Amino acid sequence: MNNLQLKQLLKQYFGYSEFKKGQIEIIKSLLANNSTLGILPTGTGKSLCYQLTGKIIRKPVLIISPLLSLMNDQVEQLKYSGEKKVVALTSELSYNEKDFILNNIASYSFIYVSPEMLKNDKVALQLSKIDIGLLVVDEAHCISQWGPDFRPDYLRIKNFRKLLHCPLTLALTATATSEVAHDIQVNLFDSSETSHVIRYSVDRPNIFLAVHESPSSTEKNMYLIELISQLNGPGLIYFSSKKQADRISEMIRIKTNLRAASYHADLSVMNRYTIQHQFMENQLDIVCATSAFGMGINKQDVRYVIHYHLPSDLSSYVQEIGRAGRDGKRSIAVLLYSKTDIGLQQQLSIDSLPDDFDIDNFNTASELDDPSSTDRVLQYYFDQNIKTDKIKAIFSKRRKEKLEKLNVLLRYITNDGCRRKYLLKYFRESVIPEHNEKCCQLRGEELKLNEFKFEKKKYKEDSLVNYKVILESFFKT
Amino acid sequence: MNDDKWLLFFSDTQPRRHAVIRQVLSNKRTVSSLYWGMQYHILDWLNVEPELDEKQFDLQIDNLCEKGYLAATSKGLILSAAGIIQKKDYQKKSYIITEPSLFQHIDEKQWLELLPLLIQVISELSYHNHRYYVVGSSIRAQLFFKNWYQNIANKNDLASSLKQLLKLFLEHLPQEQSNIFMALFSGHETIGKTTEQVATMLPKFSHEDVVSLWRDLSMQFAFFLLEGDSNFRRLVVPLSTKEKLSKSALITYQLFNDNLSIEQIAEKRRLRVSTIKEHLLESAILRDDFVYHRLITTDDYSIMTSTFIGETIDWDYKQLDDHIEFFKFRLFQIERSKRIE
Repeated sequence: MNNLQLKQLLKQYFGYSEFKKGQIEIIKSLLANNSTLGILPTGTGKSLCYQLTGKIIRKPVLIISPLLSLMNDQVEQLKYSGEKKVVALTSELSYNEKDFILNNIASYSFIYVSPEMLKNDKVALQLSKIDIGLLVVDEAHCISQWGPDFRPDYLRIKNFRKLLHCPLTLALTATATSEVAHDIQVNLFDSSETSHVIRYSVDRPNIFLAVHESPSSTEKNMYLIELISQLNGPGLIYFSSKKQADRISEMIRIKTNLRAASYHADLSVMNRYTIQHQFMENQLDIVCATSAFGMGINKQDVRYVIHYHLPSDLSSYVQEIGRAGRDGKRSIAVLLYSKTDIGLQQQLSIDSLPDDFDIDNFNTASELDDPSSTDRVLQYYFDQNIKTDKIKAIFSKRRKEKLEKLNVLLRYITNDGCRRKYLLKYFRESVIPEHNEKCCQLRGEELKLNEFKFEKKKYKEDSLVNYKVILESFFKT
Repeated sequence: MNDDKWLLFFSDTQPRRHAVIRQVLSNKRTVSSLYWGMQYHILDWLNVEPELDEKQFDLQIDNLCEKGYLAATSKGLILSAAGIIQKKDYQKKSYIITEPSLFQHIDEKQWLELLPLLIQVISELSYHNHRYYVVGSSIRAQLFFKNWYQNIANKNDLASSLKQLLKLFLEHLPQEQSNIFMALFSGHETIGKTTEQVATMLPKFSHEDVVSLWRDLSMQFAFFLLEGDSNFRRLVVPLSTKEKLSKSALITYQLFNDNLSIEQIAEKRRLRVSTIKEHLLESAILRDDFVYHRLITTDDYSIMTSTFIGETIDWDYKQLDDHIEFFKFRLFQIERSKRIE
């Protein structure tokens, strides 16, 4: 199938006229029956690769995905595009519902499943009975055993894949060092198999990179208000704390005429839907969010991403700012930093790891109702009969790695040279563009917002509509 | 959240309410919590706050004590003079759930996911639109909904029928409440507002008020559908139950009504006699058709009737000098309390 034919199908099924970087290479590789590892930066439409392939090969696509919210978003997107035969098999379902889906599994074209579900014998059996055209392993870096996002259940995939007679496979991830890429291949494919690796740069040249160092949180808040009052929206502000996201969102509403809302895991599903979609429809200028936001949200014209707190590491930072400028237009990423933030990030990412005491007292026999990911990892190591001392060493190493990653991030802030160069060097990219004024703000330089500034808009005061009017507009009778 | 809400359930004379309030609101059923919940007239509120966190609740009660709205006595907490004023003020200014008893009969969690889905799907159906993002709901709710939807023979009437039902339901409410309620839904080419957004538009409504209104009116609408005979009734029926008793208590109660004695029931169910008695007390509290004289003899009645006068809540078992077992005393107390009601 040539590029033109593929473009026609893209238009026909999804309404887009152009492919994004990397998509067409991956689809062609799959159509040539090559199992593929795709390393594409966030915002480049990784899911479209298997969605379009699935439509072309007309066989069921099975997608293993680690995050419930991500799965639900993707199910919604597929349904929106007119694909009704899509389902997600998750722990959220009751026994009867799972049973119903499994008994009708052959009628679905896209089946999402969480890695935990593969443990279930009936799930494995029913899935092995259908002729899977493409197996997709999303967030494939979770398979890397010594990596920070390791999910033990991902190691089951290799055997599960054999059970399915090794179907054509696509492993996807946004950021993977060469070690992780190797790990993915070893843990997914047999040594006799060859797989293609398609890797694209993490660089997003249309996103201007900037940092603002604040001496205090009061100054930070003042600066934030000043910044967003000038910046052309819509924009995203990321937080590490749900409470802070609520507070700042309220502060923005009071101090500016911008329409802001907060978004995090404590909101009801209905409110989450409302905020996501108000944002997509430009009924909101700013979403103050925790990292829970935006995983599956496909908004092209986000003009800025601000980090109110430190992200957990440089990889997450790249992922999160990648939500800006998907339309390719100029956008800006500003990292707000004050020294007190280090403590918070350290607490979130490092102190949450089990220490020697937790490991000594971990009860492997206890039934975990809702095991945390750390408990799962611990359970896995114990199940593998790894000695306690070794486990302690693993976590001690991981703690050091996390600390080192935090330092790498801090050096991104304090580094005197080009920020983009620093970033690309860290990801060991071979091509590093020369610094220019459109690239980033160097340390100590004043942040010039000229090209990101917007014309002041006045919004009408929002008021409630009479319910009878709503009823008339909702139901065309 | 406004801690003052809990003042609604306290009294200025009965100091032992604290734990009962928490147990009743969060549906933690024990014979004691049910009995005292009945005596305090708060049983209608069973299960209105199923997610209530014990620690959080206690902190909020501490907070009310610190503010001086609750006063500590040797027996527990009572409303202070300032607390009485504050409670009245809260009642005047806040939205208070008007039909709390529905929360025992309809699965709130499921319904609050299904209702927005219902309104959106039928709205889009009326425009023959198939390309839209389905409102936030669990896959579980979506499957449940789909199952209902696929079994409807004639889908053409759904939109006009739902519109008419909503109109009928809403026109009996104050208009502002109806406006708030409908503003929260998404429909064709309209994204609803969040509860918080609605609250910021209305000075008289706090965020918590809007949430309470949303829960209350959603449940009332479910009940409204249940009482009718539209297609939508079938969506609510599986989520509703008329039964107030817990499963196990219900089995005991049925056997009791089949004329089995307490001992026979215990043997048949392989449960302890004391458990069976607890089930029967629960039945007496929650059901209105309990046959007391099967357990309380004429003699028992005459002894207790002559011993006790005044408010049932003040009766002291010790006055019976162990002539009658506590179980019968408690049953008699329940019967008389209900008679007064």
